Amino acid sequence: MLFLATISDLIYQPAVWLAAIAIILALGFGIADFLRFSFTRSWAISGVCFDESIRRRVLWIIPLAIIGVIIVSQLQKPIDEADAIRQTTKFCLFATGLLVTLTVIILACTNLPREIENRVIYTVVTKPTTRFEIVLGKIMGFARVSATILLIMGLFSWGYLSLRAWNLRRDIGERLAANAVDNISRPSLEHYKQFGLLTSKRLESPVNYAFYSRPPAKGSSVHWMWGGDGDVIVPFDISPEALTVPGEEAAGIAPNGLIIHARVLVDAKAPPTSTPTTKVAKTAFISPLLVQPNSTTTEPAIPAVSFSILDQFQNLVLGADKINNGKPVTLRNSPGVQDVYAFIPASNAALIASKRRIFISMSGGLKAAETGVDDHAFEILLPSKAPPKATVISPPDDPQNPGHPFAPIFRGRQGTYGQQLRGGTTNVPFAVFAFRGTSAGNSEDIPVELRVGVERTGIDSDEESPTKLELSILNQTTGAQSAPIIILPENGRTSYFNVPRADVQGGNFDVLMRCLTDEQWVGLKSDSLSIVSGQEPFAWNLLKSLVVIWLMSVLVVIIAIFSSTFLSWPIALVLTVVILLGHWGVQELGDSTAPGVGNMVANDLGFRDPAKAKVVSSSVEALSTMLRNVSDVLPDIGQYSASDEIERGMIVPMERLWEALKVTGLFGIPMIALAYVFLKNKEVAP
Amino acid sequence: MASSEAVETRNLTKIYRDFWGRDKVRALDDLNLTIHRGEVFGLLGPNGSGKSTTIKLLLGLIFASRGSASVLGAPAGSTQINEKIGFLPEESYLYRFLNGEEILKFYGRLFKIPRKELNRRVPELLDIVGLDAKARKRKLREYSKGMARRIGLAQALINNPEIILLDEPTTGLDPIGTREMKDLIISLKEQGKTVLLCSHLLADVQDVCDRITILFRGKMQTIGQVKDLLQVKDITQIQARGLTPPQIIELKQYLTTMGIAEPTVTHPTTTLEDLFVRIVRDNTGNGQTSYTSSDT
Repeated sequence: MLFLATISDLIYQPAVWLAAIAIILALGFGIADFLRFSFTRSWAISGVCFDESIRRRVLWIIPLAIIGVIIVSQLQKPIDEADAIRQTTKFCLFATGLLVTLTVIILACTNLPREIENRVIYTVVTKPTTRFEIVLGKIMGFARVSATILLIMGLFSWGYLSLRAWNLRRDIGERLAANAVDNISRPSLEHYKQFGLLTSKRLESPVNYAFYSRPPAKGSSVHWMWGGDGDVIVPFDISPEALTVPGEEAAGIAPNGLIIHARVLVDAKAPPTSTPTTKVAKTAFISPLLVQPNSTTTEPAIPAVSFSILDQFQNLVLGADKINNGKPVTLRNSPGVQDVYAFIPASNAALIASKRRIFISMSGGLKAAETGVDDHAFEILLPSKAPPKATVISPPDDPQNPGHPFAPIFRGRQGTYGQQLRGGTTNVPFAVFAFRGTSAGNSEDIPVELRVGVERTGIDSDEESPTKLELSILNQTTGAQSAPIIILPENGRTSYFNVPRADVQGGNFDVLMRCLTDEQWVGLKSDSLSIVSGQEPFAWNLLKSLVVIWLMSVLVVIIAIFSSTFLSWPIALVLTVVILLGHWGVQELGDSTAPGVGNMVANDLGFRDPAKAKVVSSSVEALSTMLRNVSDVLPDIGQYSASDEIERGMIVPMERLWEALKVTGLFGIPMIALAYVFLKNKEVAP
Repeated sequence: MASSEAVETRNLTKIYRDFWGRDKVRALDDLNLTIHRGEVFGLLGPNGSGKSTTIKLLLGLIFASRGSASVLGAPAGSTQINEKIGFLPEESYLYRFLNGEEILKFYGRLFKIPRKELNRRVPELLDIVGLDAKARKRKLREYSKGMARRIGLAQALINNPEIILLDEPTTGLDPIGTREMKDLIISLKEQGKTVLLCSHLLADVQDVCDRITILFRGKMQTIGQVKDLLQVKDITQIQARGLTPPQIIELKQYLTTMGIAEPTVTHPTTTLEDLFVRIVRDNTGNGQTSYTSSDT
């Protein structure tokens, strides 16, 4: 099934079509050579490549890498024992990946040009050896070299990590026995002592998490948030065509502006006053030039909401100051749904027309008021003049929930570490982590891991003012809610606790979390809370990571051999690096290669002459399109991420190996075919 | 092309072009050559005459600009026909980090020779080319030039080829080695193999080749049997053993009376090579291994 899904996935990718063309070309050129293929000959050639590399003492670089890893590991400053192992694992895998990649790229780029230059190739080509066997033989040979390096570095990594983990665990045992630990760290240290530090866990993550002012009520689609605690966002698919008024096409994009229509409910806890209150803010130190002591802010006395527009990456495009003339929309503190409208002028509407997807963000302004929305919270109205009516733009359907539009996403305020959950003793928000279809393993006590960031207004530390989190589990299958669990997390460290199996029975449950400590904010991410559903030996996990690295090295070898069939070795080396990093580089450019960037550049440069602006804009657009198209046919080395899971003590899923194999196969096979075609038509005796 | 011929070329031309496709060097120009099966054929010429280019075209190392070539009835450079070809390049272009045995085993595997057969053949070949047990285990980069030529010859014979192309085979060999090489070439011919010998050491070619061709600036200048080409037809040589000085004088007088102007009567000379070989062999006894083996 995975294979069939892969095929249907691949068939639309341009790289696949180019690969097919390359293979057909190779078959056309040399079907006879493919029919004559002998694995014995290729293996013999691979043996020579391998022997040459070994006898040239390539492996001597491994001790240097090992010494480097040991030195760097000793210089690390981990926050705890688990972090020490995590960092050491990272160093080991980084050193391994770097060593293997650099070694094979140099060996493979220089091999064929050198054999042609010193004419050793004469005695190989004049044997009944096809050029395909030569190409494949060299690839296999250097793949064997990288496997050897990986084996040695893998054994070292496993041994060194085991030794470190054993040492740290022994230290922990001694400290616990001597009672030389604080109460906050004790649970984590006891966990380490019991389960060890070298772990490979299968962690089940929530499907989503959100911040509400009250736990979701069963059977209700309305969710609530406190003012100032975050916002609620809904996606919309936008295009210049969607923002063109029917019958007013000549007037351009949204000539009459746009209107955000929201349906909200209000529940204000404090009675509204007619005069605004003032509040002295704490000293804001921004820079030595901008220190503003005694600055004040005012809060609205009546419930109100503000709107802003975000792009597809949830970065701000239009701030609240550009919508509704910068004024929040006031609400009545009364039950029932209120229709709220906010106007976006035509000039600002044009800014969002080029975005393929936007998010409308609504945030409440009054801290003492709850604002609620249901699943049909927002729509965009495109007004027309004649006749005076509005075209409604609704959110798109959620592919996870066909037939239903995207539900509103309740977000916390962005902090240093994820989204912030405000702490306090009253009227505090809840973070709700939704687990669906979670397999919790077979034990009676289900292990749970929690990792948060803690931000405080004062300078208190974890010990002086411990952060108190209250968690409870609401089982969506049984409807039961568990008794609260109190956790005292440390900033940036993982906390471990167990929950009874009955609480998570069925696999569909929500974990409700709130912070009970005043003047503290708990930073949360989607993977802050995880359920441990299984474990496997660390050595097996490490082996999977190394296999991923090996698959990447095979691709590197193939690209290097391909480049060296028609280029001198220095240029082949450069081309290999460009091919490997091209896709990643274009991704890093992000919006700079998005459609519409040509117009943006022309606008930014302030061209007044339309002809010049068009030349610049179309040139930039063409360059951007070319970069995107080239990137589409280059390999995505992000699929070879071998260390993320293992660093975090998580099981490397088999899908990771499959993805890596896919990339290696999809890009490697056509490159082998092209290398064969180039070598077959190359005069090796110039 | 008739498969009875070992090598056939028709208007074979090679023009080296620059990056822009303009003609730079015409290395071979309309070569029409036929080499018969079972003969030793010499390809002669000064440096740059097209000898190596011809060999490279026959082996598929480079591609013809015009014309065609066939080896044992198949197009030159085809992978199948390489099963029957042995090639000794002018230098030992072999893997310098492998030892003698490893080199031969590697090339043997390229011919898919079974392991057992290879284990039997490799020591035999090394004996034939005169590499002792110590030398076989040393890496090629430690070999002298002569040793490297020997191992190069061994790899050319690993597959018991039907046609062997030797490019400057005696380069780097001492006179004993040169003699052994020549003896080997003759023994290959006796086994019915075809040998194409490319050299500018004329004495070596003269001793072993049946036919030769001389190339100059890419064009064939002459072709034919060695003895026919080298015969000086207007001089007659008579050899007789045991003539005394008075008999020599009488012979000269007789020739004069026949109208022969200034007849010359002298003793024939041997070659310096023969003298060298005789002296060395006499001093070392029968310790030298001979190349002449019927099983290559």
